[in-house]
Amino acid sequence: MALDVDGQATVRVSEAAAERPPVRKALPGGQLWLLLPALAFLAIFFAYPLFDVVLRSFRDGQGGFTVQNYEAFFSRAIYIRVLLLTIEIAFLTTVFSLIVGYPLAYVLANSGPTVRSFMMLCVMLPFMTSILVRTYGWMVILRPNGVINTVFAGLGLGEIQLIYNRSGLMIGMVYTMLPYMVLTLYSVMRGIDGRFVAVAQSLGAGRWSAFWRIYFPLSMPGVAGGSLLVFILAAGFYITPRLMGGDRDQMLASIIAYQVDVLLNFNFASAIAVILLVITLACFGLYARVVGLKQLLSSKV
Amino acid sequence: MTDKAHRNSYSRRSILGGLTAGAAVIAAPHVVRAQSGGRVLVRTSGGSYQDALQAGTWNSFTQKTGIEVVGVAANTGKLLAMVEAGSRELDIVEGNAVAILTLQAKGALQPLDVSRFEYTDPKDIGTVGPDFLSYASFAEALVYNTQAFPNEHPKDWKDFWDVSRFPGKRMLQDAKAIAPNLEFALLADGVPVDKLYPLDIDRAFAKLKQIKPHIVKFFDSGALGASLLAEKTAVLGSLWTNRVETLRKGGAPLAIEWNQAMRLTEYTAVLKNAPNRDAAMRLLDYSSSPEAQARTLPQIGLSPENKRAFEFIAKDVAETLPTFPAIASKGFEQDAGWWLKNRAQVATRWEEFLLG
Repeated sequence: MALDVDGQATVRVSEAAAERPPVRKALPGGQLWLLLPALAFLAIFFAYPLFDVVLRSFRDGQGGFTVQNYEAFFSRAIYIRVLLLTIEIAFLTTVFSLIVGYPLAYVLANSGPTVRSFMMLCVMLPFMTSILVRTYGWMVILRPNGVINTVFAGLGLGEIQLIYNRSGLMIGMVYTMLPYMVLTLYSVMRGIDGRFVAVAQSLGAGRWSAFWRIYFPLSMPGVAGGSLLVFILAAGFYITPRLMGGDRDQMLASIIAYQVDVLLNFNFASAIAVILLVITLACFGLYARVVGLKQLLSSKV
Repeated sequence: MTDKAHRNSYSRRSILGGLTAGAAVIAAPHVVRAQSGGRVLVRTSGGSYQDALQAGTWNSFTQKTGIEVVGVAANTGKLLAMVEAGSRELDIVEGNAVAILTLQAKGALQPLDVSRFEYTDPKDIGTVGPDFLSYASFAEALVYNTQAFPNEHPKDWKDFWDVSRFPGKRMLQDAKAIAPNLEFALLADGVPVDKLYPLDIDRAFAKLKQIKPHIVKFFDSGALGASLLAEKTAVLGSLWTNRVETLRKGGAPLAIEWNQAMRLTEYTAVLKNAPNRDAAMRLLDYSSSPEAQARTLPQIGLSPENKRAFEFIAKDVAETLPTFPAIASKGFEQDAGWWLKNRAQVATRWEEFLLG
């Protein structure tokens, strides 16, 4: 269920990307049928199940219509807190991914082909291993008698708890989200004409000033797109919070999974999933208003 | 017409069956191929559990009857979704008592006629319901690191809560694993074993709150719990005894304190709309027999629910199983019925407890 939410987010973004060509040049009507396989796939495996989830969220135990699932969610302070925690964790993940990812993408976009392909491989490599393997890898490194703490102990420093708390969660989530952020930023930065910066400098702007006033604004679509993507994916995260987070790092996806797997309460789980989806869509809408949908969806300036 | 329908169902099944059967062939080279006796689809939790079933029960069943057995890995949620959708891709389900009782409450189980059993005497089975049998059991016990407590180790849940006498990081179970350890909290608070149920939820959570600062993690899967103890992230905790045996065989310095251990039972049943009902009934019968249970369950640290199975188990192995009389008398049994009724309520309380 939770991973579905991840999946949905991914699907939605790629769907949005598919709309790109018409922005630049109207697609000849005669070729629209090329979209049919993709549309059919989305209709069967995305739209229909999603519709079913929404229907279920309004169903009671006997199959009648009810809003009690939503009432149950919003009438309990605990669920609201988990909802806020989910947003908080997703937001922090976005901020840290941006802080780490922006300089990385900048170097990537502005370096020679050899360095670039090597760095690109490093960024892409985590994509090629299972998230579970990667998470267990981090656990080996971060746990109390893991690599880092063994080195610390050897240096005579005290043990620090790096896992099963918020710091462990952030390390795991930012690590997993970084490729999404970097690749989105990279595709925008590659499209920035370097001559703009050169011109600014030739007109007397310092390096910083040229960066902040010319390059950075031009890279904003990447910042916006990458942040949105990371936020949406992070909000539905399931494995990393459960394996690396602390007891206080509860996220909605984990509650959905519990309602499905253990309590077999599909209707309530559906309601929570819909709430998570609405929040994600709201974020998307907010972004579209503030940044502009066109800019958000176009990777070239 | 009939021919066509048959071919359709064959191709659909072969997609699922082909995958799982293929996996089973890789996992166990000695799989006996079915001659012509049909097949049974069994839900298992996969992994070493399914390997043990294959080697100890399924292969010999296929030899005897010609019926092929295919394991299907599914968790309880997926299981119920399959049942609700009227899926005909499963015959036998096995799972913890609460899960099977949930299916029973939904009317998803086929009534059993134990009088037709040829391999198993129903009187030997721990629990015989109208539509389920108890199959195996394991325990949640106090497990400690022998290097952290070389001389004196914690002997009951009161000791577990005593952080000054027994210092060190601890772990307990999260509600998402099976159920939170409310029973152990109440025992630590002085509730006698025979007065545990119905559980005093408020009192249990108050006691859990005391130990919370010393809990490094409430583990929400057996794998995580095992790794926390094996890697010494926690030196003391509650864990499933079958997991502990695996870790000990791998060299982890762990020991089980059987005192006040809680036994949990796994049930097995046939689904109401099972496509291969008769074959499934025969496998259920065969799986419950003393010989099959003795060959299968002790290998993965589980106790057989057929009490005569102990006649076929070596004494040194039997002594590590939760229903071995000398061990069973130190512990108690989980009341699955109580959990079935109160689980949803405890779940909400649990989230409040974690964030509180």
